[in-house]
Amino acid sequence: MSAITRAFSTETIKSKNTFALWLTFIGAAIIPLTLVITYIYNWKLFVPEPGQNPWEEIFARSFNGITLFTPLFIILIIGLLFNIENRANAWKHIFVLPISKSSFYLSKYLFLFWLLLIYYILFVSLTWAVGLFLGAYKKELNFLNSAPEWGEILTYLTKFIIGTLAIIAIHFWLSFRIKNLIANLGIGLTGIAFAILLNGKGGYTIYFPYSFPIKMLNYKPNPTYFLEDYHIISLFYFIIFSCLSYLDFTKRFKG
Amino acid sequence: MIIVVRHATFNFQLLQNNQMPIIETQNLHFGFTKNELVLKDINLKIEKGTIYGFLGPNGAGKTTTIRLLLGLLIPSSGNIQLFDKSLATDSLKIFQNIGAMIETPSLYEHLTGFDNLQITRKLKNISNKRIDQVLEIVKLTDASKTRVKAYSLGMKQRLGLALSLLSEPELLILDEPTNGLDPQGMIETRELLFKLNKDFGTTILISSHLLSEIEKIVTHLGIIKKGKMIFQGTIAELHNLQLEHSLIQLETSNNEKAYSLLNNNYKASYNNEGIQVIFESREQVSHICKTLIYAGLDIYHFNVASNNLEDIFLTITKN
Repeated sequence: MSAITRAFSTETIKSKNTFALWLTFIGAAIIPLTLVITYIYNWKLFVPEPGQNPWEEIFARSFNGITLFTPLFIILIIGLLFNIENRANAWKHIFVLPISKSSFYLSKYLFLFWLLLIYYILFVSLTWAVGLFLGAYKKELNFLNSAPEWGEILTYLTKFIIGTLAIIAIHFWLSFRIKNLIANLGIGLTGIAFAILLNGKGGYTIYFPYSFPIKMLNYKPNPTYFLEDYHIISLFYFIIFSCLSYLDFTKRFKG
Repeated sequence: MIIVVRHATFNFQLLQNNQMPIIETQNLHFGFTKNELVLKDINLKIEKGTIYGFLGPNGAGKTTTIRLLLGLLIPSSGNIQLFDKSLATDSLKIFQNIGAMIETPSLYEHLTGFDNLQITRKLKNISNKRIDQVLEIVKLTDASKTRVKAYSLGMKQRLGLALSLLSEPELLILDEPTNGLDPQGMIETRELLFKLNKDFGTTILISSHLLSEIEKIVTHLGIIKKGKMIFQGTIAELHNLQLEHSLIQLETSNNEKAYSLLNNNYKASYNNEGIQVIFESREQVSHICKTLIYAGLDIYHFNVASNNLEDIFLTITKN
C-alpha cells in the first residue's frame, strides 16, 4: 500500500463517530426531505402540465436548495476534518511518523473529496427516491410515468462542483492555519452572506469565490460555452490556492 | 538540611565513549523571535543503549529541545544528527526508528484505544498483531475497545506510550511521560522503561523537571537551565559532584585552632560563622570529630550537610 492509500484509510477510521460523517449524510438528506414536505402539503401546485417532465421541476428545486446549503456544508465539513487533528493535538504525533507531509496533505484532500462525492451521490439518489415516493403517493404528480434527465443532472452537478472548488481550496488552507473552528466558520459565513446579499450578481462577483455557487441559482446553461467565466476563475483559484496551501503545509506548517 | 555548593562551576563532562551517539546536537541555538534565543549552544550527546534523563525546571527549554530533535521546530543555527543521519535531510528514515511522546499524548478521544493504535500502525506500515503486543505491554488489553474519552489520565498516558512503542523503536523520546500520573502509575512507567532498555536495548531520552522521578532508572543526565546545558554526564559523575559538596559546619571553643588542625588533612575554610570542612566518607566525619576532642576543644555546633542528588540538582538549577 502506498503512503497516500495508508493515510487515506486512517482518515476513514478517524471519521468514525464524528459529526463530520453524520453531517455528510444529514446534509445530503435535508433538501430532499424538505421537498417531501413541500410536495405533500402543496401537491396540487406541482401537478405537471401535459407533456411536462415533473423530474425537471423537482431537481431544479433540489439544486436551488443545495446551491445555498452546500457552501456552508463545505466550510463546516473542512473545518470539522481538521478539527479532528486539532482537538487531538495530533500534529506533533503525525509529523514524527515516517510518512511524508505531502502524503498526509493529499490523503486529507482526497478524503474530503470522497465525503463530498458521497454527499452528492446521496443527494441525487435521495431526490430521485423522493420523486418515486411522491409518484407512488400521488399518481397525478406523474413521477412514475417519466424519468429524470440524468445527462442534464450530471452536467449541472459537474458545473456546480467546479463552482465550489475555490471555496474548498481556500477553506482547506484556512482550516489548518486557523485552529479555531468558529473563526473558520465566521469567515465562511461572512463570505456567503456577502454573496447572498449581492445575489451572486454584479461586476466583481465573478472574482468573489463565495458567489460562484450562488450564481447557479435557477441556472440556465449557456448555449455557447460549457463553463461560465466564474467556473474558469473558480478552477484557477482552486489550482493557485491548493498549490500555495500545499507548499505551506509541507514546507512551513509545524502543527 | 544545609545545602552548600563549594564550587559553582560545573564542567561539561561530555561522555567519553567510542560508540556512535544516537542523538548528537552541535551548537544548537533556537529562538521563537530573531532577537531572543530560548536555547543557547545545546550540545547533546546520547549513546546507544542509554537512558538519558533530560532535566530542568519548567520553562528551561526541555520541550523546545525535544521539538527540535523531532523536526517540529527549525533551529536558528546548529546541527542535529540522529542515527548518524542529518534530521534536515533524512527525517523519514530517522522517524522509522523513533517512538515519541511530547507532553500529553496525541489521542483521538472519540475513538477506541484500539482505533488509535490502528491509525498509527497503518501510518507506520507495521503488522497488525503488534497492536495486541503493545496493549499487553501497557496493560490496556481489556480497555482497548473503550472510547479514549472514558480513559483515566494514567490510561491515556499508557496509550500514548503504546503508540510510541508500536514500531519497536530503537529510540524512545518521551517528554515528561509521568506527568499527571499517580505514584503507582509513575512506578509502573519507570519499570516499563527500564524493562524496554534492559530487554530490547531501547535507547531512551526522557525529560522531567524532577530528578527524583527518574534518577532510579537513568544512566546519563543532561541538565538544562534557562536554555543552556549546565551539566551532562553519567549518574556516577553527578555522584562525584555530590561528594564534592558534602561538608561539615562546626563551631568550637577555639575556631582558629580547630581550623589549623583540620586544614592539614581536609579542605577547610574559616569565617565568622565557623568552620566548613569538606569530607568524602562517614569515617572522615568520625575522624574530624575525634581530632577536635583529642585536642581538648569544646564542640558547640557540628552539622553534617550531605547533599543528595536532588539537592545538587536544585542547587545547580537555582544558582
